[in-house]
Amino acid sequence: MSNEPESTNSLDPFETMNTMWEANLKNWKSMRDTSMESWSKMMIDMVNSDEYSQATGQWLDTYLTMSQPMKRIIDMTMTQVLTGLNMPMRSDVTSLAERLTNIEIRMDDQDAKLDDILHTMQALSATNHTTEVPATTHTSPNNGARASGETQAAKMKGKNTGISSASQANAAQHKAKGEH
Amino acid sequence: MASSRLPSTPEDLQSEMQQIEENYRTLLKVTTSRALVAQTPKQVIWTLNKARLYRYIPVVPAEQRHKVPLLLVFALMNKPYILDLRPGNSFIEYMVKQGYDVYLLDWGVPGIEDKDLKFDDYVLDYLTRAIRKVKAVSGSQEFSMLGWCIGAILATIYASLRPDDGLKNLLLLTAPLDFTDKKAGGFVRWVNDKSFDPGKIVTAFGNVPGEMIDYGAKALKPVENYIGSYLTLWDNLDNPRIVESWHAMNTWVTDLIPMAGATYLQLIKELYQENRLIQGKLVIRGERVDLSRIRANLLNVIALGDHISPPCQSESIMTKVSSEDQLLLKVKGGHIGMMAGSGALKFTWPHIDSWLSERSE
Repeated sequence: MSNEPESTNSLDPFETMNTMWEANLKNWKSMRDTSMESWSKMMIDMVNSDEYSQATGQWLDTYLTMSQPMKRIIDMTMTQVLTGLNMPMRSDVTSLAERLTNIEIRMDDQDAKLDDILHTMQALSATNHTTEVPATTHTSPNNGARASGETQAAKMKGKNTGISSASQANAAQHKAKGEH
Repeated sequence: MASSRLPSTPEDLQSEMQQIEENYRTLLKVTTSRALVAQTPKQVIWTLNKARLYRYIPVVPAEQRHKVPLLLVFALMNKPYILDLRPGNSFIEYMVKQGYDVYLLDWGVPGIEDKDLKFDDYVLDYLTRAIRKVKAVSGSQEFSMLGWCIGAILATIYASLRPDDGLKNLLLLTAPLDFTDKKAGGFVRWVNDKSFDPGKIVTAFGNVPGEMIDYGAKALKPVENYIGSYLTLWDNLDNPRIVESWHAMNTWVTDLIPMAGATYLQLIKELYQENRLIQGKLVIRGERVDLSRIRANLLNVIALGDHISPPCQSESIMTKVSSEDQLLLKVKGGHIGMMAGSGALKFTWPHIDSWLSERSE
């Protein structure tokens, strides 16, 4: 948006009004921006003060303290109603969700193991191929790639085993959480 | 906004009225609808609970691509599509075009059943598994990891606990790691007040509501966030480029997600209040997080105008790690603007790319 005044005709009343309007608008905007800036600085100083931290902390504390008894009553009533209706409660649904996550973790472990097996098999097949065709070992341009592939697979196997065993421990921990 | 000139003819008046009507429609649209975001083509390659791992479809031929894949880890309390906001203003799109094999870990939206998830679980169950998948899919045993905000905390913890797992390059953006200065920034002051009890919040809500986290972030700069942002839109209603950008950012800002209660408690108590991470006293599932174990190449990006994670919270990690190759980069902008603002393409992304490209072969 350009604020450049066009060539003005002082005899044209509309043009004069326009010029005045534009100047007023510009002044108003500049005033607004200046006041916003100082207001903003003042507010930032305020929220960064110890008094504000204290007031917010106390307000939050009061709110949470006051709302807790009401929440407890609602929770108790809901539990009674749902039990009476023979319907699952929130805790039942959440424990089911936790169990699903545990299953997912176990599946992920299986996925990791399958990857390990696949890579090991690929590495073995590459090794066998190299041993069976000794004549080509000196000439094949892929020889280096095979060798490095084997090393990589061996490395990956080592790493993944580490993750898998850690994962199993984690899954057990999740299970323990779920049982609580 | 409508013309700054007064209408002098009936035609001018009519045109002015049309402009006002159009502006009104634009205003209504951008404040009540969602912009099209996260449009860079991708595929889900792994899931666990609510978490998703995306791989972005490469656009550069395999032989010209960087060999080391890049995993992006965003914060837990916002959606990660800020990294892929819209075409032309997307860090992910930029990095894919620069020839990186890019992966993004989306933590998802925690439900009440996830209220007990801690940093321990996010790092050792989720992040470790996602990294395994990145390695399996990319075929590379080495990888780079970029963590932003809380994502940087997770990445730092991982880098310290698993230094031999192939992490070649660690990139931290606006990482809140050191809370020694209890007067630096609003968050640190608020949560260190003796009347502030994070345990009470978690007991009351289970997960900390997105609205509460949003209020905390916005209250740090109340005038800019509650008024200034809308004034910017009002002043630029006739500028489609600015309106589109505002719409996308507003979509992200209002897309709130809760934070798992146990993680929140750990973040406030063990990090913000007790400052355990930088002191080497943080224990994750029985393992002490020792920052000196980090040996990966380190790029630490700090936003000079960051009011959420002030620079002093991010700088000191440079002296704690054992990385021989490390760089502290200070860029213009704020906590989010640094990576998603209009200047990001000029001031931040090229620096990240030039540092990373040399270390991704």
